[in-house]
Amino acid sequence: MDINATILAVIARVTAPILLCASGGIYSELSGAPNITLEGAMLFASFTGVVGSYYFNSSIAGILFGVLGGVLVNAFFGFLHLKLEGDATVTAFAINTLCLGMTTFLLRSIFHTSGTLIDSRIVGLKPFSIPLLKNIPVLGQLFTSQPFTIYFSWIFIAFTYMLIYKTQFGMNIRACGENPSAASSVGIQVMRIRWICVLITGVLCGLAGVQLSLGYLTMFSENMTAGRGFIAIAAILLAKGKPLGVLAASVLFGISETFSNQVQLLNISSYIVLMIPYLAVVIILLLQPEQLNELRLRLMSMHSNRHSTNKSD
Amino acid sequence: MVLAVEMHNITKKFGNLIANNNINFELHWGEVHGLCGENGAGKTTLMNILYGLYQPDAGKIIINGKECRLNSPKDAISAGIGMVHQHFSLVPSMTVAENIVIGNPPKKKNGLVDKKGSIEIVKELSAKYGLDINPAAIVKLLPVGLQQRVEILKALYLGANILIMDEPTAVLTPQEISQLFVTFEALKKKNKSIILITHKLKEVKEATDRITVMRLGKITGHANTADIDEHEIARMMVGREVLLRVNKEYKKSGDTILKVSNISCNDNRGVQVVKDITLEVRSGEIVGIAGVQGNGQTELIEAITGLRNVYQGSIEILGNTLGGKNLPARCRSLGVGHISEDRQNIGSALNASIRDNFLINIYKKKEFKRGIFLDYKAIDDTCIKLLEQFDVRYGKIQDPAYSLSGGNLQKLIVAREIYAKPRLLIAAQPTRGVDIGATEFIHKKLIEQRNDGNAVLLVSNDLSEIMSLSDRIYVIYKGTFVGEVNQTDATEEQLGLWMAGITTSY
Amino acid sequence: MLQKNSWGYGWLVLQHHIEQGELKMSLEFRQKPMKVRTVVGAIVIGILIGAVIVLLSGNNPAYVYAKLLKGSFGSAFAISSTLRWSTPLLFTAVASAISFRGGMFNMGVEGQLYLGAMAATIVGISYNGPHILTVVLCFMAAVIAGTLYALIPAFMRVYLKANEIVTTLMLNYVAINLTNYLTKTFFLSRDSMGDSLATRELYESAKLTKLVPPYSVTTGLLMGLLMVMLFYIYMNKSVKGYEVHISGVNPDFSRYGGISVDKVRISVMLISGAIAGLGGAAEIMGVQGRFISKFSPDFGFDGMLTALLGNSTPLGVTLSAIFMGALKAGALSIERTTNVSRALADVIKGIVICFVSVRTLGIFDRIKLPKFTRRKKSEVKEA
Repeated sequence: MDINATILAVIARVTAPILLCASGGIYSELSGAPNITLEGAMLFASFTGVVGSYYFNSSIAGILFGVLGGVLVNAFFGFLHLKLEGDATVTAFAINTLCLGMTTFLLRSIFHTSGTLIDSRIVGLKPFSIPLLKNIPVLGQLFTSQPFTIYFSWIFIAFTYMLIYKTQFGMNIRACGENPSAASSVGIQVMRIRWICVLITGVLCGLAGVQLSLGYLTMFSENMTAGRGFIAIAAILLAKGKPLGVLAASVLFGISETFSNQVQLLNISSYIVLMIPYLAVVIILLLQPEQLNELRLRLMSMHSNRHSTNKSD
Repeated sequence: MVLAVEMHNITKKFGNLIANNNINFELHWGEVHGLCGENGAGKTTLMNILYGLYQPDAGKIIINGKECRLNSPKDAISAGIGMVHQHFSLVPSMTVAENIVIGNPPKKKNGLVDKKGSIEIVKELSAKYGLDINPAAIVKLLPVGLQQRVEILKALYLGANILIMDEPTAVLTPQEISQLFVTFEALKKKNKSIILITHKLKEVKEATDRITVMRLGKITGHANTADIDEHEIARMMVGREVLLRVNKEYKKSGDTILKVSNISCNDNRGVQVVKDITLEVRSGEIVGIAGVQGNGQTELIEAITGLRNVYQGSIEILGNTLGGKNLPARCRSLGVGHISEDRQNIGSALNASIRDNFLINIYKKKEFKRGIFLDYKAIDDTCIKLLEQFDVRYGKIQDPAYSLSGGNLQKLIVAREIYAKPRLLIAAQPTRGVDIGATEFIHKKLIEQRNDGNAVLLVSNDLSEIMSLSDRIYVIYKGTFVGEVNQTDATEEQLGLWMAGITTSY
Repeated sequence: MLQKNSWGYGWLVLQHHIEQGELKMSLEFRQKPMKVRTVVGAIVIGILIGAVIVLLSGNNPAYVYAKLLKGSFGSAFAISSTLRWSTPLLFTAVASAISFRGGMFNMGVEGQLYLGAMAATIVGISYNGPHILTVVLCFMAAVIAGTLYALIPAFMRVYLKANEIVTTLMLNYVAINLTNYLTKTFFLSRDSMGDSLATRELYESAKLTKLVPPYSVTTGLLMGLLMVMLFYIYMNKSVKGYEVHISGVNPDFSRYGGISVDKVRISVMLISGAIAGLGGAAEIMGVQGRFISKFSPDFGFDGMLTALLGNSTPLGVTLSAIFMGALKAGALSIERTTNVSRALADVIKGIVICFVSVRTLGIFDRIKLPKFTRRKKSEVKEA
């Protein structure tokens, strides 16, 4: 494989699940419904996508079932957190466990296998190229022979930016997140908006899962998300929920994962290399301006006697 | 004559607590109506019902002659009711214009929000009601008085003819308060009505046309403001004669306990808010710092109690410089007690038990320790005794602190701080949001501290509190002391001018 | 005397809130009184929904559940299996619980467990001394490894204000890969086949004694219970325990009172890491006999769930650990004897935790529990 020629396309492909998840997650976060079910929803969607594609022999069915899977998981989260006022974090972790359990369980009971499901009946997403753009030198590879999920991931983040900052709906979302009492005091229905946002997250997680299991390889393996959902959350946090930042962070994480994959092909000890994406997240989180500033303050105060004892974080 | 608002036989229960008990309330058009009562009287609940945030268990509401069901703020807004809450309902990161139009923003043809149009609308409203504001300013950067103005404009934009204002003056300078009352006059001229929820008797007398007083969920009196005086209002609020001024004997002050020299510090945003402040508090005196919220007194107190870093100057307590790694601990070991102005988030741990709240600054004392373990029996006994001494109403000491009312929580905090026998007691906003009975008690305790030869540093927005308790008064404005005066020479007018930054010059 | 608080300790909440227009993550120990009947109700719902799922997959729920119970409690072997699976959870749950109570969300128990296991293994395959000494040395190595690994996120949180939830999650993956790498490169056993990664077997002197041979319950269980005891004494009786408790409930308040919240947070993370490491060691030395890659079926993560289910209290954690262990033992049994995958346990676990965290909405109020478990409510609302 010629590494350099299509590396951009590879990065786009690897970034897509993270970007899709994170884009969806923005809505939940900004509306004030902290949602860390991304990992579980993406995993569940990757499974249901395979199920749909398998039984109906079509990638469209796969997409529909995948999205449905993502929405179901997030709807359940919405039910527990928004309706029954369950704690967001605990519920989310429980749902992640639940999804892992369900996918493994269903893999066994529906397909009577464990570990991995590969079958010729599963139809993957059809890649296509965008007519004029594919001819651009270098960047053209981004628009050549990719499944629609890749293109959608870019369009959606741009759309999200416009929605959040330029429409009334976006204003309402931000109000719900920043000061829900402000929102409700002018008649904005906070719960309704949060529900919509959580469901949007579900759709996006669904697409992310579909990309994972049907976008390049067509298979499902247990726990195939391998922490990508949490990496998406890290992206949202890094970017503080701002769409452009989320795009940048997701791409950054995608690049580190791609790098790790490429190096693996060179037969360097694979375990060290597998660590790379995760270490990248930790290091990037460490190198944030806030963190470096805090380090600076601490080092400075070690010289003087006084300690900064401002409000704890 | 059609009344603006009629509330008939309103009853509202929260579990076993009857917050509103068969309330009848009337509001005329073109009047300012004061709704008075202590914390827990039910006045906020009643207004929340009027604004659709709660639904009454019984009774009906008539707006301008038409009976209404107010199931949500949306309904109240349609009926022409607007509410400005105590804690502002603004979105900090958005602009003034965005905050004002957020309920119903103007849109361009393509469906996107019309930002320019929003700014035009705000300018029109400003002109119409005489409420100046910069539409493009970001709300979180505005001073509190202006933020309140945004709230008023927001209500007016949505078509409010009836404005409910919940304790609006808590965070305003005397001059801003006058300005607010001028605004009320302007609104009255346009035949709008205002319900002013407050427990400040002076303001009630100054700004309102009629008053309704509530106590423990019931109406205890109606009156025309002109026909009633402060004592009577207080009596209706509390049910007994209330001491409005504290009697203090003259006391000669002794050695310096607190010496603050040229300190400066920044706030959380890195802006300098305390500029080169020097002050002294001696034993046997109460020093009061008067000022409007946001002029640096919060940060000043944090600096003195070790909760904030100071980058210039020094703080000495009983001759010992404040320094080292754990400043609050050092402070306390030097004999400083601190009644924090933020009693809910800093002065207490609401989710912990009453007993655990009591323990915080005394758990290291010898009488409660047994090696590396705590002697909980001794602790519990002491706690119960002290709570009784301070007349705190509670269930069991294992109950969470959030089960206490504001006044009782504050009394618990005062009890805890005083138990440690501080040489210097710092009391920041000690009676804010506290009912009259507890206020009286706390004032008594502060004076006791002083009479026992300790020092008290009092910070308060409440001018009457400062004036009645302090032996000496500083006024803080934008981070510096702009005036210092003895209790005997102090007048409210002079203090008010200083609080607004107006220093006489010759 | 037992200090009974009538409202429990509630959840550690990761609050993603928006402050001043910027998304900020902060930790809050939010008080949610957890009543016994909520836990019981949630378990009931979990079992019911599990039954439905079993039914939909073409099996008979009653039959499957009977097999599950038999697999957890129905024979001496079953009980030993339950205890075997509860033991590591005792460690990881106490580790999680301590960090929660101190206001730190240690999601890295899994990684600390792995490193502790590895450290104990390295000592156990290298040093063949007297039994007690060897065991102690192995444990010490595990404690050091777990503590050091927990130091990283602890430092990052306290000195850099970098939130530890994401970092510890990531560090788990790092630790797992690191131990795999170490095994493959340095300690690979000559008789390991194909893809499996395992070290040599530990010396006999490094292995924990079985309590009731031939069943696989070892002194590790006693150590686990010891952890719970120490947890109880620490939190409820000691001075430091009070500092941890109050710092977890309200760090600003603690700082105001003169407690060094930074010190508390670091010490709580270190203790947490140490106990997690011990858990890994106990598993290797007690059950596995050697370090095997992927030896932990999410002990760390399940430990967190156990702590949450048990409300981060000593008694609650113990009961939850037994419940989770029983669930695991039973699930393994049904995978052997029926068509149902062991993942059913994860499904039930997930559902139970989901419903434990919700407000009861009066649904559970109709369940009447014996009088001594009912707690008094004191609610006063500010009008």
